[in-house]
Amino acid sequence: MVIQRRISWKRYLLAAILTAIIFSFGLTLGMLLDEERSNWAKQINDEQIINYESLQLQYLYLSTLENESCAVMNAALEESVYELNKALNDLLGYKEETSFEEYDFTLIERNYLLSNLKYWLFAEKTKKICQSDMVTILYFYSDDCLSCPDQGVILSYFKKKLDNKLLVFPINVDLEGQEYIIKILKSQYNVSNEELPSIIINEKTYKGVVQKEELGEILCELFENSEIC
Amino acid sequence: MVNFSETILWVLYIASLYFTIFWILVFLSSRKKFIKERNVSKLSKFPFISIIIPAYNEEVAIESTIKSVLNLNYPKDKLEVIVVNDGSVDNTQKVVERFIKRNKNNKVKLINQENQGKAKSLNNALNVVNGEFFACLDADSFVQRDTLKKMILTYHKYNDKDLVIVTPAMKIKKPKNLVQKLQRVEYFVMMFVARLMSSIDCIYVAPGPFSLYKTQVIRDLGGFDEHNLTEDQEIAYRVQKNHYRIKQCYNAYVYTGAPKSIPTLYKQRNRWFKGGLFNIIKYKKIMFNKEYGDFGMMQMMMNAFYFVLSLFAVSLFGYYFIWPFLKGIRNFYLVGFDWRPYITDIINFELKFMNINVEKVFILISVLTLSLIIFFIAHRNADESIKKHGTIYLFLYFFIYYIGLGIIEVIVLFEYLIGKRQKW
Repeated sequence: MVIQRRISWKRYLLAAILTAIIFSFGLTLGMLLDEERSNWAKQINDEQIINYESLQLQYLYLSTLENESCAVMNAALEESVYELNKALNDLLGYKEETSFEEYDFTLIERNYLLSNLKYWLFAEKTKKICQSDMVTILYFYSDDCLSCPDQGVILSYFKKKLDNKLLVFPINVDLEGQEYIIKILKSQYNVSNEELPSIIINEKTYKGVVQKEELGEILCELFENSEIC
Repeated sequence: MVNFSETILWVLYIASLYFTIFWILVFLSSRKKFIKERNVSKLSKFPFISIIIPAYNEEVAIESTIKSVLNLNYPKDKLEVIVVNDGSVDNTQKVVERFIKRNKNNKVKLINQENQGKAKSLNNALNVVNGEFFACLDADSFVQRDTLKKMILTYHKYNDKDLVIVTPAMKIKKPKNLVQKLQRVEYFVMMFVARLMSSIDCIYVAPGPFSLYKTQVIRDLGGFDEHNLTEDQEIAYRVQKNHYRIKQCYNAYVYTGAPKSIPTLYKQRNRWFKGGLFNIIKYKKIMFNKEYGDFGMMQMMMNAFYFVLSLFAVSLFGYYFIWPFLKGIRNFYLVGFDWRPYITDIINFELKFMNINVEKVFILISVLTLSLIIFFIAHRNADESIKKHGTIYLFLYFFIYYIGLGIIEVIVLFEYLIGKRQKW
């Protein structure tokens, strides 16, 4: 006895079509948004350039004045470095989540790196002119260094705790092929790619992850006002 | 940067979306056929029916179970009860013997056997069954008075000699704690899905409590498999394999006891899933076999694919939730668990819209919405209201219970792969 059992081919097909429709709708939405996102990334980048310009103009102006302008200068510096790091973090988060071509980001990342270094130089000068009670840290890391995220966590902890007293300038050594300045800094501070993460505090190089307690002690010694420790 | 986990995620999304849409299409095309059996008074022919009660150490509940069967809305002379005492070490035997002595006008039989498990109990009873149909009722289950009539009506309605099992609609008996209340929700969904499967002849489990079998055919097929973890699933697969049909009686409600704690639930589900896996493998030849219609082309594939899906889902859950969670704890440890600096973060929390992968979120929302729709229909189908029981279980069910079940499926898969067998 041959029994013909029903196969609802039409239903399989219809389900497949509906799935494809919903799926491609989502995909289109994503693609539209991807374009939106890259515009947004570019815009952030442009903003950063303008920010830097305005900060530099401020610096030029402020450096002609006497020391009483330091409060203004510090505030401007703090604001800009905060914005810069936030934008960089957003960018990295976005980079993780997207399927966008990589080189677009390299350009923007390079821009952030250069801005960071400019701010660093500016911060060092401000420190000297204003005798501000603040500490700057150069933070060398790379994308494939396993213990770097740990150092990042500890640094951002202190950044949050000390607020405007501490300025952290991250440097991604993966970009050294494009930016010669990284090589210069590395040789000046005796940093090698095998010993990442490395941080530079007050001209001194610390290799490997500096734990919370140790970093706390180092920072405390550098602040004139030791109450914050 | 499309990596491995990303690809898996897409497969998971698309497959779940496809299956969900498939069932919604089934629902849309067959919902008019979901006619509940209402006119039990119209039933005029009463076939003889045997109710088998397997009992292991049930001295407390056995008498009331027998009484509940005898109290069914069905002619007394068309009903017999067969209690199978599966080697109880308590007074089950005495209690039943005493009951038989006191109620001689009812047809109640007692079979005593050594402890040999449920399938063997059913087979021993099957040898002496007089009914044209038989059902089995565990001592911890309870049947509404009209259920049997409704199921007979279902047999009459289809009037199909190949229809050999009518399954009931199972609910949880008096759910008290959280674990049981979550299962209550789950049973509504299972009931609804069984309803859909029934309409395209894809039922692959005839629930132990009160499925109504056609005696002669089950005997011809060789009775129940005594070496199977889930004999109620195995018999359904065997019935499907022999091109017989299984239908659900939409409102034949049976209330069954459910595990109260997570360990007992785990044990039950581990057995169910393992049995499911063994039966899929046992009947793998049905898969993608056109001869078996939708059961072979869709249902078998879905049953097998759910194991793969749960494997994907659990690993993704680990990757996207557990791993970041552990990383968060480690990061917290790195800063000596000093939480004070992070308060401002929580206050200034902002969702970075641009960092959200819209495609994924969109499909996730689609699947969730469709599941919610199914969920609401399932409640309505089970003659229950969501409001009455609270929506909190709905969320727990979606976001925790499913993952829990998925983890059990993955464990079962691994146990199977390393060759660990389990006895009933």
